[in-house]
Amino acid sequence: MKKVIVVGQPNVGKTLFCLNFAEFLGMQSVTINFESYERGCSSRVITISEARPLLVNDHEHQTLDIQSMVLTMPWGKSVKQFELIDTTGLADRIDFESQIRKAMAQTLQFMRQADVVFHILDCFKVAQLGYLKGIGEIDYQIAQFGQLKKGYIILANKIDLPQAQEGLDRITLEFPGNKVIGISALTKKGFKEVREVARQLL
Amino acid sequence: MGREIISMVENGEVTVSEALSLLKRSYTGTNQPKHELTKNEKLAAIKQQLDSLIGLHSVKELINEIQAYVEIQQRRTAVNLASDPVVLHMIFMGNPGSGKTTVARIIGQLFLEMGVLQKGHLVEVERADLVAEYIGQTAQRTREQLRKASGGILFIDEAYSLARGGEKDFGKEAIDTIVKTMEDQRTNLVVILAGYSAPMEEFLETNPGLRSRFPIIIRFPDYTTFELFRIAEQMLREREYQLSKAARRKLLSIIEGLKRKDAKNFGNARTIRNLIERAIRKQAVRLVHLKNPTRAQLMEITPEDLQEVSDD
Repeated sequence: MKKVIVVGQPNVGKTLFCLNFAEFLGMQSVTINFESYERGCSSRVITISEARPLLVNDHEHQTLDIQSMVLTMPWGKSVKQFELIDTTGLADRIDFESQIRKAMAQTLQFMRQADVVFHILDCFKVAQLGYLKGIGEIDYQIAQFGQLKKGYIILANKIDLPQAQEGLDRITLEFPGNKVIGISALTKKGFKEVREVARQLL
Repeated sequence: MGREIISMVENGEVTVSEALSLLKRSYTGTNQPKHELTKNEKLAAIKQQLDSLIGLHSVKELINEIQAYVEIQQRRTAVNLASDPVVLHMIFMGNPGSGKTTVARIIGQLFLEMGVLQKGHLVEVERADLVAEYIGQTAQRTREQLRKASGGILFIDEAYSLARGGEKDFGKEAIDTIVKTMEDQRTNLVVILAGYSAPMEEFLETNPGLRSRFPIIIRFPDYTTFELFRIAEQMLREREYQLSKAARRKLLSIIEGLKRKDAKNFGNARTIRNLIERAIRKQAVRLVHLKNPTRAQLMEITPEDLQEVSDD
């Protein structure tokens, strides 16, 4: 089974994207495997509408476990399965809390093993703060690393917010040669394109 | 390589970006088999662990000797030369807190990698784990521990307590059972007798058969003042604390004082650990009322945090 990993800075909407993308692919409930550095693995069957308020939050570093789920996608007459892996946000500074550092290290570990990387950027933030602040060193590094993978796509999230289009344009400029898709994890805008691209890669 | 980089992130030594660029360089693709450490690399890692222990020069040297000896015996066997049967049972002598258990653990790992032991784990026992109350039960209980330790190391702390209690004591039975098993099961079990130097010597005097069965004697010297200071610093570094300049001076003088006061019973590294843990708690009390302590403040240990602990 191919592994698709979702990475990005904290609070760009990785978890919401994962849940809503699962819903978009027609799943009503998913089995989420939580893989925590400290507590080991656990898994839980949960409906998407239940999971959203539970896992998505405005705070940074809401996700500290690796949350993976197996999704199916129509593939000709049959279906294709792949694993979608939600991760801890990667920040540039060295975090004071060892728990967060460990979670980030775990994310890197999974990133090494993944086949396809979905890199989420916040295009609203890029539009608001300018690309110097909105796009971090970490994003360039993720891009460089992602290009070694079978598939690497940049998802510019929060396109539903005002002025976000500017951010999307900027991101496209900043990462030449990479596929950039403007999406909204909240309204599921752009998901169709993501599905098409994913279908080609898997 | 990749694992090292990732653990560097974990320890806060590099930022995630730096780690990613390092990873990129070492990247080998997902479909290739994962890079497994070779035997030599693993051995080097264990040796590194041993070398990172502060002081203990004579111990390190002796372990190097043992390692070389085992290695050469294995190679001689490989080319059909006469080779001595490798007897690796040991006696550890040293004051409390001089690193006996730590070294035993590392030796277990070392022997595992060298193929001497199958599991390399450490089973730590004392008199109460071996000796039972009623006749006939001691052998059973001892055998149980020996079975647990099979493939690894049986570490008997304060081994001389087995000989205390006179003729009728069941400790003797435990010793006999252990010696018997050592003879029967020549490979795949290493027994270490550990204890303080003086009673240990006495123990060996009274049981002359033991000396020949435990050919390797490792003496753990007491740490010097400066070594103890470096141990303290290492402990603090591991816990992500730092000594201020004044605190360094105070710590040195505390250690010197302890050493002068009671050179014989001074608990060595264990006392240092208590001292450090006490200081960390004191620091916490000092900082708990501050509203927004900075990162530097959270890491710093000042002289007032350091206090002599009574070692009892």
